[in-house]
Amino acid sequence: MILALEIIIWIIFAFCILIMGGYLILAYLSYKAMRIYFTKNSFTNYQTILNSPLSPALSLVSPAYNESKSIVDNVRTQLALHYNNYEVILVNDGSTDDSMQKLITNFHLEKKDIKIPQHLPTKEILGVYKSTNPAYKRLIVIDKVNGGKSDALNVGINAATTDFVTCIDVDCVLEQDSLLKMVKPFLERTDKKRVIASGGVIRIANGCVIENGKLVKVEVPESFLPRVQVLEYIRAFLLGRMAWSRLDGLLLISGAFGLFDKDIVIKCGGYTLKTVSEDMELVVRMRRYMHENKMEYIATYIPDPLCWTEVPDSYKILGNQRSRWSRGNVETLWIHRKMFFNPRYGRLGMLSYPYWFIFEFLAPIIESVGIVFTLILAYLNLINWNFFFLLLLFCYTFAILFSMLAIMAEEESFHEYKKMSDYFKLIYSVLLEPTFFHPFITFSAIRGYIGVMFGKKSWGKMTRKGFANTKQQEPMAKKMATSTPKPI
Amino acid sequence: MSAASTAVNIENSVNYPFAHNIETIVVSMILIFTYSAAILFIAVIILRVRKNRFEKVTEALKLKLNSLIMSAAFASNDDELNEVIREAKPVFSKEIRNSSQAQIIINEVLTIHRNLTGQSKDNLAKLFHGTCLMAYTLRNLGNENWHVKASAIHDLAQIKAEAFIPKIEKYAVHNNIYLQQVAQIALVNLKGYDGLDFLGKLKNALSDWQQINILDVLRKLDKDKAPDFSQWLTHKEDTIKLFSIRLIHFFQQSYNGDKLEEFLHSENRFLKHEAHAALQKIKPSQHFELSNSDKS
Repeated sequence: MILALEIIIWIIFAFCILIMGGYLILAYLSYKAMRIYFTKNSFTNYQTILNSPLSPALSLVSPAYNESKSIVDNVRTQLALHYNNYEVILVNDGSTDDSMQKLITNFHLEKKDIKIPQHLPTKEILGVYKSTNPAYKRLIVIDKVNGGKSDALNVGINAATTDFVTCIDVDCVLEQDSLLKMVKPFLERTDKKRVIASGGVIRIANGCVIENGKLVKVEVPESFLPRVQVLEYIRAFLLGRMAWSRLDGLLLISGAFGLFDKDIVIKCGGYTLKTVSEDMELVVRMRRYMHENKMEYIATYIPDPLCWTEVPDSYKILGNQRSRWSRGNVETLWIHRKMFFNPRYGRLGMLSYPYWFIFEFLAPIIESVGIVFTLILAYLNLINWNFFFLLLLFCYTFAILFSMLAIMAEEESFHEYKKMSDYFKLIYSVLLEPTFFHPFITFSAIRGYIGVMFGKKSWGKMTRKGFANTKQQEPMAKKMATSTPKPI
Repeated sequence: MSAASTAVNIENSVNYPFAHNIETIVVSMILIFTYSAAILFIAVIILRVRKNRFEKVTEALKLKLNSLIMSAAFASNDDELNEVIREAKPVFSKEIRNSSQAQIIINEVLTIHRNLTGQSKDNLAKLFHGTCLMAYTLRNLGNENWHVKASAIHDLAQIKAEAFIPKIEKYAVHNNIYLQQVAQIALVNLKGYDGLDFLGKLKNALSDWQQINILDVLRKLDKDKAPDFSQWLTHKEDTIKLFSIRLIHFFQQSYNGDKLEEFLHSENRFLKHEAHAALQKIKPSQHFELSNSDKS
């Protein structure tokens, strides 16, 4: 019995060491990738893209469901981005509020007899609207029967008249030059390697000052939960995805803001309705498609903060969100299980997928097993408490170190949080995160896994405060599906 | 945290031969993590202080330089300009010891140079040549790091240092794609349409990004003096053919229409589509159609 316990314990310990090593390697690779990115782009003048007749046309697709309170401002923001040749396609996914009426009134919309091609199967389209005001000529509003976020995105992709589609959450705040930066990787392609997707860093808007849809001041949120998520996002985006991009193993481009090669998206079948993690699933499917068709390609990622989004600030909403993400992960991994350690898929099959499976999917399970195990052993009085606390300290100090590395990366690169008090607030969160936040996230992930076992499919609800024009507004009681992008 | 459960009976059990070793390793790792985190904590503070100080120094330096650069730009005669250059020499020499500050000075001169025309523009070029800025830039041109070299090429092109064209030309077909791009744009900046000669020697692809940048410079030149861009339609590299078609399109060289028609049957769909788009513009009276399969 004791021998069996020992073996399990050593496996858990080895797993921890493996995770720590993996994280440190990724951090190192990210650091190198960011250095290269900044050096490469030190001569870049993005205005050149803005003025060029050779710049590709883009379609901005954003699905909206019951966004009445902010939809007009958000569309205005999208129409004012710095890019010459783009269209804004807003898909009203059967909103039950007055979103559609507000759009019609504010943008002088008129129903047009425009046929949307059915490249991707979708729910019924009720109407296609365009503005009679030339100032809004870029805008296309599609009203459709409710079918969920993926279905709405697929309608937008069908309607896009350009070769590149940007899928964004309608309530995200984009940097003015975000399109210029996102399109550059596509322009750098040569015929040899096709760029199929490009993603950018998502940052947290809670606590920031946003006026007329523009970010005017960046600050660390006052409340604990969003502040810890600031750390989490910095860690994930600056120390994780940059590395995966460098390794050519990127599996996820956030649903909040990604630019895709429309042709490949359509050939792959668009966004799936089978998972709640449609953004990750699409990227995996696109990459899989390219591998299976022996087409050379890359999926890129740029470290610039391009999109700002609101994150949950209550445990209940956060828990639901994380539970949903976990379900999405499991569903995506299951759909593409064929790739697991399959050399046919190159790094994707041999590195990215296994990493995701072992470190993202298994981690909460192994952690939970460890905790339960510890409790049982404590009950049986089989614990050497000195060594127990030593190991606890070991994990805790590593968590602190890794968060400090993330803060260092942020300071060296973008230095978004300028005030010294912001820095100390982040440090405070660094110290508390492993004790409160992390166990909660693990618990939520396990809830998600249990949800998968019981066939749960729903998205859950999220109450967002909204950030129009003020730093912390009164709650807008805006109910919507949780679509905050994953930082994993 | 889960590893904490390895604490099972560790001291009493004979079945844990490595227990003491593990304990030592764990303690060592805790110390390493703690010290590293503490070092990072302090490093971030130092970094912040340095960044703040650098911003202040930059502002002060810009203020100090601005009057000097403006005096040079608006000097009414050579004597006045020489006097300003004499005054600027020790100031620039002192500040240029730090590479970041050196780049600030160069950028300041180049920014104002870019926004001026005529005599004032020439005066700033003379200021650049007459002080240590040119020597500094040339020293960077010989630097081993590609980005330092590229920065020097960029600066030389901005200041219209035509004398250094031969030195820049070799980098237009360099193995380092980024250095190559900066050099190509610099050549077009310095030589105008003649700067496109590198296209004939280029063996690698010319990305859309690079095409956009080159076209951005070409757009500022006299359209009437544009050469016959069809000379690169027979290049081995498809992306250069594509760029030629785009140039023919943009510069409306309708006399090249027949040559473009050949591309309507090209196996490369990008060439085919670009040729089609160009023909529709430069020969609007004729109808060119792509087959249904081509349209997709």
